Amino acid sequence: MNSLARSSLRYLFRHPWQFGLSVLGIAMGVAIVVSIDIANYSSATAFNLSMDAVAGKSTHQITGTSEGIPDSLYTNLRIGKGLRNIAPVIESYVSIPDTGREVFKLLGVDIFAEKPFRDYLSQTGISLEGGLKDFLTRPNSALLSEESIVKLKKKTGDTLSVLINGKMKTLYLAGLINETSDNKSALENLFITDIASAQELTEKGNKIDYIDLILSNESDEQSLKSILPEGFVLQKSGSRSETAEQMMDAFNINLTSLSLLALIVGLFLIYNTMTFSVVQRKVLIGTLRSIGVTSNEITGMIILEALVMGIIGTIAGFVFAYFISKILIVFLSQTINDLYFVVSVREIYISPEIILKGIGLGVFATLISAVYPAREASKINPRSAMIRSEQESSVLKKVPRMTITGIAIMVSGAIILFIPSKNIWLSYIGILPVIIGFSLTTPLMIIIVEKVFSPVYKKLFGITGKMASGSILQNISRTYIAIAALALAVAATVGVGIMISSFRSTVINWLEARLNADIFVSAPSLISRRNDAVLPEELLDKIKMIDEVEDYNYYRELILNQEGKEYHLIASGLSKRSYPGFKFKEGDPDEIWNKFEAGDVILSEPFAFRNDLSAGSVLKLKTDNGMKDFNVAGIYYDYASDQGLVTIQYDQFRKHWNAKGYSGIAVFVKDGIPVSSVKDKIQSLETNGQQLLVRTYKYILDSSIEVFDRTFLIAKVLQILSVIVAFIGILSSLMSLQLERRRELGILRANGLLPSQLFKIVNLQTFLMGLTAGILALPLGCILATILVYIINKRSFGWTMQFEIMPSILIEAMILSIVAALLAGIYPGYKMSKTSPANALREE
Amino acid sequence: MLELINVSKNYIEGNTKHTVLNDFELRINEGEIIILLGKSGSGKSTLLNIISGIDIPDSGSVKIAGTDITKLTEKERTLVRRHKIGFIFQFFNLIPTLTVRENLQLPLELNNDTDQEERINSILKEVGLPERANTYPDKLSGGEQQRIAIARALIHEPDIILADEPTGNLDYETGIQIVDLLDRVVKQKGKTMIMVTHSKDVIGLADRIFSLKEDKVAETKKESAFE
Repeated sequence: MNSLARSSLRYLFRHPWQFGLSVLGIAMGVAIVVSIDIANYSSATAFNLSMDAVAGKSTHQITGTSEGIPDSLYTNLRIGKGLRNIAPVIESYVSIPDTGREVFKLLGVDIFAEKPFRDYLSQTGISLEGGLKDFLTRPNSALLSEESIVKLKKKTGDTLSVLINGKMKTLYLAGLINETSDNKSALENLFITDIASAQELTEKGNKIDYIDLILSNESDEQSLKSILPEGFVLQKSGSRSETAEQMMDAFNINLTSLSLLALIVGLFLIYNTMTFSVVQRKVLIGTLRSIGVTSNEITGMIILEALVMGIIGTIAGFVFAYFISKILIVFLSQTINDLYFVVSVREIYISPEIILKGIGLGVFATLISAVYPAREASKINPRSAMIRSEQESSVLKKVPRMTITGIAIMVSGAIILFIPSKNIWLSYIGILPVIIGFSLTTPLMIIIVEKVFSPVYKKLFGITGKMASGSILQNISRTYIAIAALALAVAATVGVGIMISSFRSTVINWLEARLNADIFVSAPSLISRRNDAVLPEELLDKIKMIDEVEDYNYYRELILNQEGKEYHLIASGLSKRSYPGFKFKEGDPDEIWNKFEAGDVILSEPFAFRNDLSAGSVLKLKTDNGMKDFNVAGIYYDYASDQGLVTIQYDQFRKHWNAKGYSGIAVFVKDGIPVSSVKDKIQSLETNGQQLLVRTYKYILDSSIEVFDRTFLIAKVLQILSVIVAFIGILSSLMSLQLERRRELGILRANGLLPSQLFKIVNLQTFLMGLTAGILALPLGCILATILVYIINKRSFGWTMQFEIMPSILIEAMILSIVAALLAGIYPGYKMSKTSPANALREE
Repeated sequence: MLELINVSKNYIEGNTKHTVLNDFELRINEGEIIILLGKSGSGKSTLLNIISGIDIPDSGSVKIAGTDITKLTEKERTLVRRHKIGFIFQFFNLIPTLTVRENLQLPLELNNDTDQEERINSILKEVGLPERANTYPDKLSGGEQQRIAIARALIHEPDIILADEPTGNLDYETGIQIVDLLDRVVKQKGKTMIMVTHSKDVIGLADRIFSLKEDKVAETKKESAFE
């Protein structure tokens, strides 16, 4: 290693605090992004593994109409058409009340048809308690893995109570499936029953969910397609995993957006650290340049430092990411279960792409953010580097130019952001210039704050106060970087905070308008935002009979799998009193409702956004009688699903789909009647074992908000982690700044300042720096929130949100800024006050 | 060896133009020791910066061994500095993160010199600090730091030594020791040295003394240098 590199690296290790905090900043930035990727990837992998394991070796699946597939179709294909590699499947989820509602998948199969598909389910892969005959003939017999049976604290031959589609059923644990390393992930939380038992347990009658097939060539596929009846679709087996991935895409993008915001903060902090280390070493660099070190060699020296920090930070980042991802996976799988589908993530999976991305961010982003400081370092004039006052005056001279450049860069960012596009990455490219541009206006703000506060400080704290405020301006080449970094970090928290609170209040307002009934009835569902369980039609008739019921709404939710996408269809039997709860983006509501009643569909905003539809468009939907065109009457604001909803009038729905029953019923209670008494009456209705969730308006509102808050819990965690990243950066900048002023403060001590006065000066200064950063952070935070609300969320989900700035967020941000700055000043302040002035003066 | 021909340098401050050097002419022969005197702001340091290629004049030429360095690129000027010039600063400016030995190694490395160990040991003996080789600069006294700075300026055997007030930050006695050292090592090696100073004690070293006054230069006799 040459002397230049040795000197450079020793500089890093001689400033362990600064070096350690910079590395920690990079590590945390990497950790946040990588841990989110790991959490996303682990969830997706867990889901895909379970899907793949269930799909087995099947190449294709036949899916049916809204009612499923009659088992006669299966028999016809197997026997009538002579297809051998074909197997019927019923797939459902059950929860087990005794274990705190743990969720298991229930797979109904024909053991004799299984061998080509899931050989672990063939007769050789299972050990039965009472023999095969017993398993096939005894109702509700189920098989499970040894690990599962141990977890449930049961043994073969026992029975187990489970909740399926809102009804309690009893499973007989007939035997074990032999576990191997290949089928381990497939068997996790899985019950296998015979197809007949599954039909009985899920009350599907003579229907099955889908038929698995192994088709070896295109012609088999085509000939099979030609003989399938209307409403039945042959699709490739991977389509369901792809649909699940598509479903999670927007959610993942939003998480990624938050992690990228943390990364931008992290990058800015790396940039600041490197700039700071260059500014601090101007004299040293000037000396090196004087003795003949070229500007390229100086650039190389700074880049080498960045490389060392990047590598160490990245390695540490991966270690942190491992632990953070474990926490995120808990939140993430909760959210996925709340919003999308049932998934159980037990292992951490990491892909080469994640590793490459982490290295790319940690090492290359650090190098990129060091390029400008390195170039600045290489341009250091050896003559002026020796004169500190020249450095400061040159920054002061540059203020007008910096401000104008900053505004110009911000405008260029705004132009990028306003480019009409759905491309989310364009938004991120646009955010960066806004942040950089804003940072360049920091020196101007420092001058303004100094002018305002200098007389105030002098009046309040005397000459020490004036010195404290004046030194910010005197050291502007250093202070502006620290203040800009703090402002950005605080602004990021303001931005995310305003975005979440705006979204929250939008959702609450929407819920209050939409949930205008008094009581809501549904069957227990394993996914909060989706009602996959169905209430019997007779229930509505019974509710109508209750005297105190004035009016009612009902709906049926159906998932249509078409063209590789999952469409959520809501068939609404709406009372007219509920119409005002729908707010349309455009058009006359009366006209829209008339068209709706005549058979047109209305679309939620995210659905229209995702599918590029608007009022007047035509939407093709897969009905039980084949594909059919529906006119779009209007687009309504809706925050129930980021996937979007298609709403059709219930009677019109029944013309095209055979699915019976309701997913939910909303009841309006007559004026003056206590809601609780009607609730009790509904609860006590005879439902043939069907469990009912009968909830009041308030309960639904509260639980919806709870799901919302749970969804954003992960965002909050990321927000806190971003603040930690930022705080590390600020601590690093401010500590370096104060420690670098040893000599200056030594002079003050030599001139008779008491240690306590020195401590006061340092803290008065950091207070003012925190205040300046806070003042800058508020507008920047609001700008970031505007971008998040109007551009990033809009482009991710298609949601229009109200923009609401809660004063508490701004006050908290200001406090955060000041407290962070004060905390960062305490240690150097203390250290300075304890340092002997002789030592401080001696060190040049 | 070194020629400054019609060198002018101005600084603009606000709307005011300050002329620091005006048609400055100076020819220095190989092995000569030149002392530049002048008040603060008279242009002494500017002159050193121009000779070293750190700064370039507004007009005129600076020839080192026949090469006009004002016509060179920034990188070429840096390389001239690296190979042909040794700098001694008032505030020593040693690299704090390198030991004494490593500080001396740096110019040798930059010049791709091979027999580093031997030359470092030899020059450390010459400046009287062989036992301080592995010490970091912050553990040295001011005088010791300046000795090492002199060693650093000389170790790669440059043609020209530029010294900017080398005793300006030292006490009288240490200053005398440094002058003795310069006298011994620079003269002995036959190097050309241009030194900016305010110190009378250095005068004895000079072959010629120039005084800078109001952007003009005038050669001065030793006896009347501080009159």
